[in-house]
Amino acid sequence: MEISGMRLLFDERLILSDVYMKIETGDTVGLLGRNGCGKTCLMRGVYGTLECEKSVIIDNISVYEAYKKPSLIRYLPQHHFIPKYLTLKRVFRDFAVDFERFTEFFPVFQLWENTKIGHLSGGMHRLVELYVIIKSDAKFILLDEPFTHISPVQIETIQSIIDEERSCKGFLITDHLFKRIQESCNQVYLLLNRKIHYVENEDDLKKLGYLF
Amino acid sequence: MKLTRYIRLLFTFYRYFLWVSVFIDAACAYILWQHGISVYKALFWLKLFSMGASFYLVNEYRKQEYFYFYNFGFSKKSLWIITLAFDLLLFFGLMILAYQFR
Repeated sequence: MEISGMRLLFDERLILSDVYMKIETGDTVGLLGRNGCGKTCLMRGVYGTLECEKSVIIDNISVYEAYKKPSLIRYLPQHHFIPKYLTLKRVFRDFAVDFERFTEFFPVFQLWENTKIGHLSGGMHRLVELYVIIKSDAKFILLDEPFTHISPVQIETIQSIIDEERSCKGFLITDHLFKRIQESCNQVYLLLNRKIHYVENEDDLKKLGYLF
Repeated sequence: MKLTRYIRLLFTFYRYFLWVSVFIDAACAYILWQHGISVYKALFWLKLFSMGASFYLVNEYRKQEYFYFYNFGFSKKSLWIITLAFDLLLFFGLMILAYQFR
């Protein structure tokens, strides 16, 4: 997936300018940035739910509203997005993801197949959303702050699932913590002053003023 | 996407305003049955108003959940056009039935 020339304006305020990124199958690309710097806008722009100037090419095909092709791309937003009245069974069925396998990773869910999503705690809810998106059948997965509300042990499990899925998918992940991004990603970018900067190590982040 | 999954997802979206819609349709059918065709115009506007209110309330309080449907390739426009068209057909069907049974 190649994203280029992305430019976003809100009421004449420039949010993103000349964004270029390339994500290949097998890549896990991390995107760092301060609050309000435009990480979510970038993801939604790529996904096609936010209108902006851009070129998104997936498998040599130019796509403007990528979300209309769920076999190419799926997106986990920052907030809860699964309707609360759906049961876990129904959600896994919709995304064509195996519930049994999920309970192997997270046994606490074993008896909750018929529980409504709205009855789960915030962390559990987030875990279900994250898992179905990661495991769903799409070539590229966009995860917007996926580890919020999730316990450290579960984050490790999720990271191992991402590693497992990487063989046939590409991931773009946003987060605030460099350490976490560094652990899970093979490429890291920083979104700063509307532009994307490639980051190789912690020193680069210090030079760019993201870390002290 | 399989047709059954497509319909299931549309029905999931329709559930946001299904009960309000059923209530309005039933009330309109009862009023038409009681008072005859003369009240039809007012009932039709009431139905349109309730559809507008459903649209506003879902957009205001459930907008984050659109991403569930986006993840299956539905656009906001397609969700609303299909479900509101179905809802309006249901309303017309009930009005015809209420008129026939008078």
